[in-house]
Amino acid sequence: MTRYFLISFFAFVGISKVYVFYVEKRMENLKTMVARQKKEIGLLKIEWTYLNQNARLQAMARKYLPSWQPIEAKQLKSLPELDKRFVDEVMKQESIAEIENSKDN
Amino acid sequence: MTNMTKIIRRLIIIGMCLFAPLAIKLGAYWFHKPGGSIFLKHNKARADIIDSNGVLLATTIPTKSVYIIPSEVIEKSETIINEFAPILNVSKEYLNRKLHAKSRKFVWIVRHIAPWQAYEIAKLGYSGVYVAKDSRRFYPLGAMFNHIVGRVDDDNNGLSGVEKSFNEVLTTRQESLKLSLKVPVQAVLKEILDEGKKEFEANAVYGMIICAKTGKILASYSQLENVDENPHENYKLDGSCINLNTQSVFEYGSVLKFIAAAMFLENKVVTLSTRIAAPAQLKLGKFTIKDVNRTWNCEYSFQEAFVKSSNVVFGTLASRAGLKNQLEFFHRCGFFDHMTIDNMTVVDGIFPKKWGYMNCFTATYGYGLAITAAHYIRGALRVLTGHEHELHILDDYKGFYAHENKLREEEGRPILNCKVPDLSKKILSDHALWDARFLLRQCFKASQMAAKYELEGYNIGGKTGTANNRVGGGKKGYKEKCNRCSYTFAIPANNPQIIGFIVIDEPKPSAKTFGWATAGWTAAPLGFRLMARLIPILNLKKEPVIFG
Repeated sequence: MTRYFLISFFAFVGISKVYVFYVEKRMENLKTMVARQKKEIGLLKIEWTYLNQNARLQAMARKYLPSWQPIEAKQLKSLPELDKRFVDEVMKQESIAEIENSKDN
Repeated sequence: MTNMTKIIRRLIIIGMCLFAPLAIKLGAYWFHKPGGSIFLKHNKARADIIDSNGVLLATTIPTKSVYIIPSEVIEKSETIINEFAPILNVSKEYLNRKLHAKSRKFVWIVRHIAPWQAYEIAKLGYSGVYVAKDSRRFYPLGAMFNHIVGRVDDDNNGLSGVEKSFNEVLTTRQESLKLSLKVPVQAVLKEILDEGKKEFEANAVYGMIICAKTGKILASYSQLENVDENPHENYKLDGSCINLNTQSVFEYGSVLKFIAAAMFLENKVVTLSTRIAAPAQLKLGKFTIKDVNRTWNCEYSFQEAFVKSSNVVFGTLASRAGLKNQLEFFHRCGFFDHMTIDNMTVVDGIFPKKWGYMNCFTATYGYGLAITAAHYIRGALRVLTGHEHELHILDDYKGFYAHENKLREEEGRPILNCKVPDLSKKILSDHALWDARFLLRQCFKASQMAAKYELEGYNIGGKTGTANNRVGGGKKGYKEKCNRCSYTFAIPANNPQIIGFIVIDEPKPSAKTFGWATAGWTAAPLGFRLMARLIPILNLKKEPVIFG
């Protein structure tokens, strides 16, 4: 009885050592793969930044989007300004309606 | 206890001893955190430099380089030369020179070659010819951040700019160094300054844009030579490798009137509406101070004098303020300091050895003392915010200093001095601060061309400055009709978010500028264009009109 127990015990130890060996080997492979991927990502980042150079994008924009210009400060409006315009427009419409009403009457 | 149990017990103990390392190993992986050292550390030769949004400014590329050990080379030189010249794309004379070099131990043939070239060389398999792994510094954005980021030499040691000042940080640490620079702002600054340089045929253009709330430098550009040459690639050690913002001193002229005006207001020499007599010329000994375009006597209020940039009025006020007050105020603005931008050194200014009567007068309108652009913009920052701000190039300078000082304490090296501004300490009284901001705003409003660019609603303040260039070469005197035009602006003037300072060196008058080469015709239009482009990029909001 004890003999079978001992044999199975040592067999278990042996098999688990072999298993761990292969698991570790796989992990080393994964590590090198990850390192290689990271290197490639780094190189791609460099290429991406290089292709994103301002001068290059501007030249392409001028060529393919000829009617686009850089945004200027005068094109930006703030919400209070829009609101005022909207209010002025509404008041204008109301006054026009009022005048027309008074004309009819 | 029978023999059997003893044997079993011993075998179990042996079994546990065999199993123990296994258990320890398995247990270690149980407790291991992912992302730690379980991943291979990719040891780069030199850390990246990135901007505040994470865009790569400087990075290292792994390359291959060919070298020979001449004592091991067996093949005839002609064979090697004939085989290598087409692959490496170099002349045969160059290879001949290298192969017959004096050293018998080690000679570089060509550094940083492409992978296919390295493959071909290795395939030929000549003895004594080796291909080594090498690394090369690459700047993906080209010449945009030419001087502020700097360059490295062949062995990846920093030569100028951030690369030099943070050399040890870049070589020891693996994480990227995050700067406070912003690529869009730098791109706009570079584009507009380059346009201006071409338009006015100037010798040089340079400028800086800083965030006024924190003192961080958002953009810093300096162009002295031809734009097409990438200064990172060319290692010329002539004047073109100077960052004109931090490594060169000049007399900046009327832009310093802003500092002087703040000084007058602070010391209560004048208020905004004090009227001062402004004769056509002011004679002091053998020296006369004259205003540009004015040959008649009149009287100006202080506000008018600043807006019209009157040298005579500022000269007369200098004597009322006194030399001591003036020097003390310049000291407060940091002109006399040995300035460092986060461990990057800035050249000291040139000041008169003995401050005399005349120096006191001319310093108010910017002559007689030479400072760098960095000193000036820091002075403007201090006057506009009223606190003792410093300029910073790093995004997280506090964290950097904390980390650095901790390491330095452990190693016993001297600690870096982190200058965090003491925001409770004011260098300008409230009335002087607001009056100074008001003056800057009025100066911008008075410029006629400002209306053309429709920059209303942003409460912009700006001041031009034209200064004669000195003859140089150790000789005294000023060059005729050769100006250094500068423009400083703050958006918005009442609560500055952005402060900028641009300089054009020797713009040439042309038909478009009606024969003028002063700042109002050269630097100011560039400044307006720059502001019109910067406002959408930096997302500056319109504010209710404060200073009229």
